[in-house]
Amino acid sequence: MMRGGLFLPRLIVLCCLPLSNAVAQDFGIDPNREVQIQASTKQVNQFFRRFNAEEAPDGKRWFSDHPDYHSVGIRKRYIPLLFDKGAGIPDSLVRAFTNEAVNGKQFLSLHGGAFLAEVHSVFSWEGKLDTLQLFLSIQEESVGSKWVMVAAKGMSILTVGQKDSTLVFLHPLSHEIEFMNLFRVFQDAENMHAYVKEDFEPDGLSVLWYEIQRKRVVFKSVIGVKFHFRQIEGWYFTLEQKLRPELNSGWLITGLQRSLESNKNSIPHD
Amino acid sequence: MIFSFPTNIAAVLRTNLMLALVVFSVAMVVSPGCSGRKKAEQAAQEQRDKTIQDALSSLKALMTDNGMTVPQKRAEWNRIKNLNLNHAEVDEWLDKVDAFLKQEEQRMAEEKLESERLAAEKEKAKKSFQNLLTYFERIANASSVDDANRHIQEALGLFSSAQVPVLIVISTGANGSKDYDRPTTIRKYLDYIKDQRKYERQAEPLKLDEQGKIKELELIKQ
Amino acid sequence: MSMSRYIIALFFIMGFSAAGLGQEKSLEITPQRKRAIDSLALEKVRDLSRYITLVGNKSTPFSEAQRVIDRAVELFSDDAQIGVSSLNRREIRYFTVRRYFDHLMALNYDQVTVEWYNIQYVSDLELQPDGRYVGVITIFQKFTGKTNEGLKYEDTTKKDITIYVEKKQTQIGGRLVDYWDVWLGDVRVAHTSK
Repeated sequence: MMRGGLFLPRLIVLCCLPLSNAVAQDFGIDPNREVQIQASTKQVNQFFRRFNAEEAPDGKRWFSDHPDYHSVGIRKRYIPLLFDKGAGIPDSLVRAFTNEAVNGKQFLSLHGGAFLAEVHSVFSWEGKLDTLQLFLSIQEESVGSKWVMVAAKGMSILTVGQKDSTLVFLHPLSHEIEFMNLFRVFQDAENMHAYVKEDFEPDGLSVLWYEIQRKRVVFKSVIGVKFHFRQIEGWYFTLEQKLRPELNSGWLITGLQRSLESNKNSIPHD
Repeated sequence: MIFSFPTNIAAVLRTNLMLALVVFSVAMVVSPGCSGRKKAEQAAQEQRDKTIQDALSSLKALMTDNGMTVPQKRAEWNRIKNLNLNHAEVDEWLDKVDAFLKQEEQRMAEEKLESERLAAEKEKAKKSFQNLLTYFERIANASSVDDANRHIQEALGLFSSAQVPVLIVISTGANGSKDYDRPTTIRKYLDYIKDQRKYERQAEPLKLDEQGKIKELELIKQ
Repeated sequence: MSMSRYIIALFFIMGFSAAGLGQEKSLEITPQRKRAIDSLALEKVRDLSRYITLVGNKSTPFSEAQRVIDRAVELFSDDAQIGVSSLNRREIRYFTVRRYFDHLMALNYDQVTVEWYNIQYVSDLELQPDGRYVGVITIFQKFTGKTNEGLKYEDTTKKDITIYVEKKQTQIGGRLVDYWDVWLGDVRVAHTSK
């Protein structure tokens, strides 16, 4: 049975042990490397478990009958270790977030909603490579659940054209000629933005759907994944994987801020 | 001679009196034995009736589950038989119970045979598994692929075919229910031992066919 | 629209949906059974490592190597892919399981060793819409390839291996037997820093 008194020393051993330079050895497994792997948050699932104090430092799952399950003390010590030290997030913000999440008994869950995956992927579009951000969320089904795409962004086909919109437009008396000049719209695909409502944004997912149906787009690869969380009341954070031979590695919080309503333009992202 | 009345009468009276006395004496002696015999006869009859009733109760009880073993029931039946009561109802029950006990004795004999057969099979299966385990070890520790393949061919000789199913228990519930891995065949399992250099232990006694070959194998994960 | 506004809009559109917001989905697999299934799944992953070693070794006869590849393929679902990225290339190269093993056999090493770091992480099992359970096992392995001339290649990879779990039934010896079918799915292989 794990007690808080035993947990902290083990955690300190895991996270503060000096790690010698990882040098390829001629034989066997580097034990320092094993310590580093143990400390690393290897899966998003493990991030949830550590955030919620639902597993021991060695990865053994705790259930509700375990004395340390959801322990306030353990969460307060563990959650700060789930931040990317290189992200530059102020300690005061980390402390505030931790205290509010723990004192408010707020937990993270794959099925908790308010959780978005941003997947950077490479497609081939009519032979040319293009990069997209696909956004996905978990959708609960009558049995089980699944990830579903909710948006697509970044397609170059949808980017704003180069021409000045004061030069291309449907003039204000187009109605008098029964809009016969619409033919220009269809000849000037690159400047669609000039012919539509000011705040109109084409739905990337609909376009992607259409292009996939017409087999004009070929998936090539995923090149990065990031998660956006709003499950903790009043907070928004991002989660990314940092694969490096350090104790502070794996899936870590790379961005944190209070409620977006007060910080609309300052979401940390690459 | 003519008796004088008074003398003759006296003589007759004396003779009659003597006769009466004799008869009275005899009666005094004989009359108590007559009523005693009747009582004795009555008592004997009552005793016999009771014996018959007891015998009938016993015989009826022998046909029920009265806690007695079959040999004990047979002994009781013999005891009642040897009473030779010569009573129609008792004789009828003696026949009934005899038939019942014969059936029970037959059943017991068959069960004993079956039990002995199973014990012999279990022993045979145990020896067979020891033999099989030896092959598992040889395959897992073979020095070369050819060596391992040779042991595999020998081990397959213990089985009714190369497709004999192998079940591997991965966990057992508190109520004894078992969770299994995906079933495989003995051919594939022996190849698995060769590749992975490890094997599982016996979970259940081997199931053998009429030729003594293994027809199903159950193992348990260590 | 700026990225931040876009993301806010997405959350709004999602409507903070999900039945049981903040509620944990309860598993139908008990902790004890989960441990047995984890153990079984890890064993299959270890079996796969052993198959990789056998196929990668030139001393394994060709016919044996082919048989081992067949056994390795049997561990996987039919459409499983192995996606590999390197330190220098973030793009993932996709291989079918068979192609991955063919590629392994074609490597020019006389001896291949795959060692496990003694840390494996097994996720919780999640229920899919088709009624099967899915999980991911993460392992770290050190791959060493040596030639007889003394050349050596080493790398360390993180492998995230999808596992599927389903309760099935089959007939054995005239009776119905329930069993847990555990098989491997897509594998994400990421080369980590040395």
